[in-house]
Parts: sequence; structure tokens; C-alpha cells
Amino acid sequence: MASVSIEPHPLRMLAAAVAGSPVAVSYLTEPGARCWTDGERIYLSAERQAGEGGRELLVQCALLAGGALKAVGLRALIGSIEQRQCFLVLEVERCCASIAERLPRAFLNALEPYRTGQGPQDAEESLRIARSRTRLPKPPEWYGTLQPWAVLRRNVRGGGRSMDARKLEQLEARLGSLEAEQADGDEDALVRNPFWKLLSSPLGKDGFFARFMREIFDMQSSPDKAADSGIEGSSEMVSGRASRHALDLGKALRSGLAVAIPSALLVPEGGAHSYPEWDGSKGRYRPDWTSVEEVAPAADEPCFDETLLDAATDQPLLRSLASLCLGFRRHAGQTAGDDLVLDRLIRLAVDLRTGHSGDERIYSASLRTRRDLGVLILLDASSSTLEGGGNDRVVDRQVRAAWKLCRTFDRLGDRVALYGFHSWGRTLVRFQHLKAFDERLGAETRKRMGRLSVAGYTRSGAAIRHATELLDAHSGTPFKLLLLISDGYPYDDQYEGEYADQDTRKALEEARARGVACLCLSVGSDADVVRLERAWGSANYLAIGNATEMAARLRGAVERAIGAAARKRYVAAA
Amino acid sequence: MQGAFSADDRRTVDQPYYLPSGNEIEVFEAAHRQRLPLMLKGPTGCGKTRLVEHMAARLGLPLITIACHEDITAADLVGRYLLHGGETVWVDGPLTRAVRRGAICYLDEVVEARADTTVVIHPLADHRRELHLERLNETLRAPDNFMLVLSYNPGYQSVLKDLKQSTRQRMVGIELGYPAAEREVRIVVRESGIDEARAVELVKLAHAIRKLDASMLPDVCSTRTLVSTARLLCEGLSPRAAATAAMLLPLCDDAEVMRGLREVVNTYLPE
Ligand SMILES: Nc1ncnc2c1ncn2[C@@H]1O[C@H](COP(=O)(O)OP(=O)(O)O)[C@@H](O)[C@H]1O
Ligand SMILES: [Mg+2]
Repeated sequence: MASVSIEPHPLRMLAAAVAGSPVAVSYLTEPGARCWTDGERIYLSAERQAGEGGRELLVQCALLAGGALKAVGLRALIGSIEQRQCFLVLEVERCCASIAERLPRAFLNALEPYRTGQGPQDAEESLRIARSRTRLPKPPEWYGTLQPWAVLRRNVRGGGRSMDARKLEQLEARLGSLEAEQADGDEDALVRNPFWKLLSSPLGKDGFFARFMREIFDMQSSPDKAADSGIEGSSEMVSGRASRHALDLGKALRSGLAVAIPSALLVPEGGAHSYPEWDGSKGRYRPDWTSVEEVAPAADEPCFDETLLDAATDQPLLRSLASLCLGFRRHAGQTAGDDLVLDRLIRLAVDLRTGHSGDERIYSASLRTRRDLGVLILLDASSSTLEGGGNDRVVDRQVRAAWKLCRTFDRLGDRVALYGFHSWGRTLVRFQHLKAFDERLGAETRKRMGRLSVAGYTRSGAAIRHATELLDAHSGTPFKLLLLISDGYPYDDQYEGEYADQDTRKALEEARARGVACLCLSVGSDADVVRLERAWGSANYLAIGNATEMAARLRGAVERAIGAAARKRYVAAA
Repeated sequence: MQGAFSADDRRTVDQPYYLPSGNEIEVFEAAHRQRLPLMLKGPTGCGKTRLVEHMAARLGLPLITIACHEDITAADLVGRYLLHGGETVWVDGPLTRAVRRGAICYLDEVVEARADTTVVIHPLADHRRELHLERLNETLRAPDNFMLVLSYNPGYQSVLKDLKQSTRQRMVGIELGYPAAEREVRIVVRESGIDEARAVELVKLAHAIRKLDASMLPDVCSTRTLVSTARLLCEGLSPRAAATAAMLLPLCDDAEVMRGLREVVNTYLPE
């Protein structure tokens, strides 16, 4: 496969500005590849240089902004190149018009020759027009292409049992063969394909999802359950573990698309962050092994009861953390001290002369009141935290603790950031941005909390390294604290057992060497002391039953962690 | 010559230009007639100061502006005794002067001031409309023309420093944002003298950059920076150079973010 050397284009900002929300960009190095989007990520040809590639990117961003790929019934476009092109022409026109006020004029002019004169109101209407075989202009190459398959794959949801890699592979192979047929333009062959039939048949007991479930999960034993469970939008989603696995499956399918299959084709945008990973058995780092990207949380439904976030201020915790003082600061207006404050002295002199009693607090003193603390709270949002029942799962306790801590530190005037993380393999570690250091804690933060998606796995090493980087770059405070809230089970694709534990401990060590204090909190996890020590080392964790216990035990642990990091840094500097 | 202007024309000629986005002028005038204090909310550079300047001219009132900061004290607002050749002399602060003269007193970025400073405005902000000068043991009653206007940027940091609820409740509020595209174009044209086509391109760029969320870019480009960019264009700078100098560089220092922003600028503006 040909690979092209790539200039790292910093196009994520451009993409986010035009699309109106953060978008991930990947580059296709295959020669002649056309760009496309799966509704979430944009795949951009690496051949064109940034300036020239601008048009392509703007088109895809507009499609995202206008929700073109959210059209209900997109499935109908599979199998007809012509209809796909009509849909594309219509949607580019509609979506670009909807954000015309932030598109460059030269670009809008370039769209002119492809006007359809149809004026659809939404994507569904475009779909209808496209299927009605109306004659429309053919889209130019820079409109890219439409890949309804990829969009569908991205949206797969359902219930089922555990998935295994072989099954996934089978599915990918089938999808692949279908796509090959489709590429040949042989519609008949496509329609004869049993998998296509399965996909295009209506919903129901023998509909796509039911069959899909059986195909993928071997659910023949209970076909009814399968039929009930898989239909999108059905309220009868299989509860608990099963739907969780399904969610993971959906993500795995997507990550498979983005990573496993065409990884040779794809290069992450420069804005994704690469970090090494520690291979304990070989005693060395694997350079640039993991890739972390920041995304906006996007769960359609909250995965915990949002009233969890309503709790009143935890006064004991507030008081306990308030007395966490770290450095000295000069205070004017003291009745005693080591320096006179000239201003105040003069004011006192004037007051006395004019017959007032005056303020005698004319000294300044150095007192240990300074905090200058930046805290990054890193919340494990992997599906293992969904263990437990009802409204008292590990994830509920963790979210409660994280939110409480975020609010308390913020109240105390500390700089706080909050991120949720999870992963699907080494190239897809995701940071869900809940609150950055420079953002104000408010309704927006709360809204983002509600959209936190809890799924996938825990590649804690990469997450800790990225958090360290963020603290270093953005906290802007002399004291830095990383609070990792996790159940203590690092686990991901090729990230298990001793390997995962060693990498996690290594990442914590690296952070400390950079002067970042680390404290790992387990809140109501069933992990025992031995487990926690394995993952986090002996001195760096605090295991508590639930968030209310924090008031009693957190401050001491934070002080110890900060002390340890300060010593580390001192040693490193010496 | 004099007869060429009616009184009204003359006024609009002298008034600083302000293009309203909504009913802010009516609200401002009503608040003034009813002697209610006013609170302007809005991001930096969206026209708060300009609105106040415009209204002061329109109402024919003097304007006294106080830029608030963390170290400003009550004495800085009210006044203090100074030593003058062995004598102590009282000197009015700007707030006191505004009360005595019946001016508009504009406290810019009021959340920056500490709460123990802003207490002095409380009795001015409620029905009493008075200012107590402790040191002189004197209480001034504000004349009808006196008006208190505060501004603050709700997107700003620290919740702790937020205005006290009791202070807020005494206020009439106006919320300003960046103007809609078509209005912003008019403002840029008018303020800089640039042609409309180029103003449109600049405004498009600004609207795109404003879509970036706070995790990518903590600050956004304001109408003010747009006007500055347009002015540099009038001086003959290339669009990209002008936008970099007046819009991007003041926004952030992060090298990676700057590269990303440059890419945005290059997509929107010609060399
Ligand atoms: N509505 C408007 N009408 C006229 N000029 C405006 C308007 N909004 C912004 N401006 C321009 O932007 C500049 C900055 O506005 P300013 O009032 O100083 O902002 P703020 O006080 O909100 O920080 C002004 O000098 C003016 O050139
Ligand atoms: Mg986990």
C-alpha cells in the first residue's frame, strides 16, 4: 500500500470552527482517495496540501454541521452510486446554505455551478429527492464521497452476549465483500448477497437487527429475545451487561474501521496526542505507542441519574480542603509583621491628624495561606464501572465523587479541570472534555457531565500521561494535583495483567518526576488492597466506600501526595 | 451654515456611533428615566463601553468611567484625604464626583473589584440613591440625572468573585453579545472605513472562530479585534498579516493553537 509522507496539518481547529463543534480528522494516504465522513470523524485525503484541501474539508464540515449523515433511512442509498451522488449534491447545497455566514465567499462561489434548484428542508427530503431519480448536477471530486455503510456501522446498537474478535472479523469481511460488490457497480450481485438481504429487509422478528444479533452473537437459542432487543429506539434494550457489550461492540466496529482494518491508510491528525507505553517485561518504552484524542462527550442519554449532580455543597469536605495550604503569601493589613506598609502608615498618620482613630493594621507578613493549586480530575468512564445494581453502581459513586471534588476545589478558588477517559485499543484513547482549566464551572459543565459516555476499556497509562501533559501546560499553578478516580482495573486491548499494571505505575512515576502529585481514588470498587497496590503502587491511593467519606480522609492523602511529588521534583532537579 | 443642522442632527453628529442589536437603547433610556441602576453583561469587546458613551451623549450627561481591578479600594472610588504641604486636603473620588455632578458613572468589569470595595455602591443602587462619605461624615443624595452602570463579562473565571445576589437584584440588566453578521459588517465598515466586501470576509472569519469551544480556545475574537484588523487593512497590510496581528496574536500564545488558527485564517482570507 502506497504511503505518502505527510505534513502534519493542524486542521482540527479549522474543522471545529466550520462544523461548529470539535471533529476528529484522519488522513487517507491511499492515492486518489476521496474524503468522506462517518458523521463523527472526517477522513481527508493526505495528498492535497492544506490550502488546497481546504475546499474538501469545508464540504465535509458543512455536512456535519447540517446533520446530513443523521438522515433517517440512509440505508436506502447503499447500492446506488447515482442516488448517493444526488443526495450528496443536495445536501452539500443545503448544509452550506445553513452556515453560509461563516463560509468564505470564494468557497460559496465555487459551489455555484452545482446548484440544484431544489431547496430541500432537511436531509430526509434530500433523500426523497435523490431516490426520485430527478436529474441533478454531478458532484465534483472535491465534494468527496458518501459512505452510508460506515455511518450505519457507526450507529449499530443492540443487545447481545460477549463479542469475540473472530465474529467481528467475520462481520467486517462480509461488509467488505458487500462493499466490493457495490464498487463493481453490479447491483444484481449485491441484491443477491444474503447479507444484503438481511440488511435491507424490514425490521421485525426476521428483520435486520434480529438476524444481525443471531449472526453475530449466536443467539439462536433465544431468537425472540434477540428480535426484541436490537431495534434501534426500542425501549426494550437488554439491560445491564448485555447492552453494555453491545455498546462496546458498536464502538469496536467503529474503531475497527478507523484503526484495525485500514490502519495502514490512516494517520491521526496532528492534534491527537501520541504517548509511549512502558513494556515492563522488556524493560523499555514503546515509543508513540498510544494515541489520545479529546472529544466532546456525546452520549445520547445520560448513563447515570442526573439528580446525582444536585447534591448540596459538602460542607465538611469544603472545610477540610480549605485548610489545605501549601505555600507562603504576603499579606498586607496585619497588626504585626516583618514589614511596614507605607500606604497604610500614611493613611494612619492622616487619620490620626484629622482626629480619627485610624486603622492600625499597617504591617505585612508572610503567612502560609497560599494554595496556587491546579487539580485535574480524571474519571474512569469505562464499562467496567457499570458493575453493581440500580443507582449505586461504581460509576454512580465515581461521578458523585468527581462532581463533588470539582465543585469543592472550584469553590475554594483552585484551578480545576475534569475529564472522563476510556479506550478501544492503543490508538483510540478518548478524553471526554467536561471542564477545561480555563472554563468556568456552570450549567454548561453540568450539561456535558450528563452526556458523559461510559463504555469501552481502561488504558490508564496513556490517560495519566495525557493528563500530566494537560496539567503541565494549562494549570499554570506551582502545585499540580492529578486525581484519578477509577475502579482499579486497568484493562484494554493488549493491555492486561502485569503489563497494564506496570505501565500504569510507570506513568504515575513519570508524572511525579515532573512535579505532578498523583492520587488515585477508588470509590466503592470491589478491588482489594492487593489489586489497588498492583495498579497504583503502595503509597498513592485512597480506597473509600463512597463520596461522603472523602471529607475525613482526602486532605491527608492529598498533602502526602503533594509532598511526595515535591520531593521527587527536588531529587530530579538535584 | 448653522441652520443646516436641526438640533437632533447635531446630536447624532457628536454622538459616538453605536449600532444597536436589540432594544438596548430603549431599556437604557427607560432605566435612566426611572433612576434604576443598569448592569451590562457581555463578552469583552462587544460594545458595552461604546453603548455607554453613546447613551451619555444621547442623554446629554457627563460620563465618568472607572476601570475596576482587584486592588481598587473603596477610598479609590469615594475619595480620601491627602497630605498637602502639611495640610490634609479631602479629594473626591470619581464615584463621588459623578454623584455630585449628576453624571453616568460606569464601573467597567465590576466583578474584578473585591466585595468590600463594591459595598459602597449598594446604597446608591437601591431606592435610597445615596452615597455615604464616612470620612467627611456626610451623605450625598444623588440627583435625578445620576445613573450607575456596571459591566461584567459573564464568561469570566472565578465564581467566587461573582456579583453578590443582593447587588444583582437591584439592577436592570442588558445582555449584549457579538452582533449578527450583517450588523457586524456595518460596524466594521463604519469604524474602519474599509470596503464592504473585505469587511464581509473578516466577519465570516470571526464567526467561524467563535464556533471554537472553550476547550480549544479560551478567548474569542471580538468586534473590537475585527475593527482593529480592518484598520490595519486600510493601512495597506495584507488580509492575512492584518488578521494575524490584530486577531490571532492577542488571542493566545499556544504554538499549536496558533498553527491551527493560521490554517483557519489562510482558508478564509487571501494573501
Ligand atoms: N454595536 C456597536 N456599534 C458600534 N461600534 C461597536 C459596536 N460594538 C462594538 N463596536 C466596536 O468595537 C469596539 C469595542 O467595543 P467596546 O465598547 O470597547 O467593548 P467592551 O466595552 O464591551 O469591551 C468599539 O470601539 C467599536 O469600534
Ligand atoms: Mg475499566
